[in-house]
Amino acid sequence: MSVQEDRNIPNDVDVIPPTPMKWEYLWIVYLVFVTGLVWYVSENLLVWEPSSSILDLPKPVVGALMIASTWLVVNFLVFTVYYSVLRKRLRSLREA
Amino acid sequence: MNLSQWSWIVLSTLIGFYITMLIAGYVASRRLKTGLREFYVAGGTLSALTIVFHYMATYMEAWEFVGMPAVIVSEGFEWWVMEMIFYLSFVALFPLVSLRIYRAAKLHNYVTPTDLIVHRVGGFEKPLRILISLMIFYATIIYIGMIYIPAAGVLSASTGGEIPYQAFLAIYVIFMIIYLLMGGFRAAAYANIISGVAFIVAFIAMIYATLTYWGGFSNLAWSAYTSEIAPQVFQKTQPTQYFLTMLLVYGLSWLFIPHLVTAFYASKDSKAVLVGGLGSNAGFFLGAFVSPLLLGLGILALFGSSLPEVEVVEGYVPLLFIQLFGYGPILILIIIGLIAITRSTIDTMLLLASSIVDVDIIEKALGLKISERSRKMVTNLVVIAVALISILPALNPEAPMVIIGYELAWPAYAVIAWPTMIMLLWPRANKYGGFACYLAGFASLLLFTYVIWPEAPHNPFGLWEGTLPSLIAVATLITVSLLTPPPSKQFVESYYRLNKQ
Repeated sequence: MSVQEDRNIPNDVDVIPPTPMKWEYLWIVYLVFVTGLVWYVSENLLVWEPSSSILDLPKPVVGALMIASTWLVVNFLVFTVYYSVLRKRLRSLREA
Repeated sequence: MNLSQWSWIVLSTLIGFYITMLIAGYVASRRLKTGLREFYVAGGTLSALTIVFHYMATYMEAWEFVGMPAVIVSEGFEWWVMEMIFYLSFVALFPLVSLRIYRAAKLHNYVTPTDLIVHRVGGFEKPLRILISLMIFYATIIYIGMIYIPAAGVLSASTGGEIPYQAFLAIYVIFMIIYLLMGGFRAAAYANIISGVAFIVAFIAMIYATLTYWGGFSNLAWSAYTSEIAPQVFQKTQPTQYFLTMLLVYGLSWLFIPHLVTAFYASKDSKAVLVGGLGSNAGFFLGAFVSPLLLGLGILALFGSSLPEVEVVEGYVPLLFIQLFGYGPILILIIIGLIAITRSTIDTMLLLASSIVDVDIIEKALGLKISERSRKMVTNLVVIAVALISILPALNPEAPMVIIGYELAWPAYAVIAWPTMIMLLWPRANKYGGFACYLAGFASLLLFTYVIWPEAPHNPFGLWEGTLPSLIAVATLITVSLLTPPPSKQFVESYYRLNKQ
């Protein structure tokens, strides 16, 4: 890569490692957790039982709510983690 | 033809929308700078806020607004829950994959999704470009056909069936071709704004209806859950392994969907990628969760004892609005919004098809040296052919759009996405494994879908339709790469820029 081409590349490219960082393998644990959640919802909450409810709502609606609220929380969590990690790495790169 | 005044209003709305978009397209084309990177990926300069709206406009479509509420009623609540399951894996791993795509795009100046794939494979460039283009075209044709269904179905249902579904399908496609010939698809951003406004109005209207018509969400949910057809709607019919493969195979495959990948190329910096992901994923909570849930439950609560006659099930949504708000401005705005939503998605897909023909096939695979004018004409003709062929899946749809997506369109994207994501993160993958995996994945997808197991889910194990072809593609990538020499050290260092790590 020529010096000119190198200059056109934004700084933040070098703070993103090409292969997963060690802590990113934690996603495997997360995927195991959500597999359990999906199994629970599909086996226990996708039912037509008008006589029973959870939080005064039909069970399938609660199941969908559990899944959607999980990914909503995860969305903010992953943003915070990645944003902090990249900012920290960028600071170290500039100092170096 | 004796049409009611209301049917004329619906027809005029469609025509008026297209005329407005043509004018907007003309204005947009005057403002565009020249150059491929500028035209297809905005020169890689889009900021975080623009990216939020770009992601949302590209992801959000008639699928959520019309398809999901309809499928809840016609096929069952579980099909919408599967869409929620998809987000569990997609949202969580979004930064991991999107940042690597952004990184590779900035390092190597990609324009089309095929650029990234071919460069990373590192060999067999011409046949690989053609193979990947064919795979994307196959999926795109089904995708566009799938979007024609709600476009024509909603318009037809809005006229109470006075203008039939097939007639609206023909009118819609004719207008679209005129629009394409005049370069109107450059106005995608304007269509996105209109669909966004209509979506917000429809969303507020549904919240209002939930509070005033049913007296709150709990009452709405119980009205739907105790309706006559509820015992069939709220039952699990698919095996658990179908749900799990939707989570692990389907959800993750959307991290490399060709027409969305270019949004990462267009991002100004990594912050734009992250903020874009955060904002759009939060927006999906309203668009993909709250909105279809309210609409689907609303249809069940209102029509749960006797479903109205519709040509395609997506017509339930306008009928719900007619029932709640009558024929009037809200309905017109919602119709405009629905036309704009379908329009913006088709624009994005056709822009992708255009870039593939223009850059991947004419310029890089075939190396044709033809004038700019001839090149533009060939590109336009192919794009129009795609728009026309896409009518086939929509002519007599045997299933709602959502089921067509799950069964046919998304599996085709998955066999592209899975090996690509692994190659991005695994430097040992080589050109032999890279070429073989797409060939094996696509061939097995076609064989399973049309020859060996023609009935859904196209496998005897109850797995999501894209699972087996994706696994075959990944297994081929790993096995062939390990059995053949690794890519050269020089290639790996330059591709991954290892000297800077």
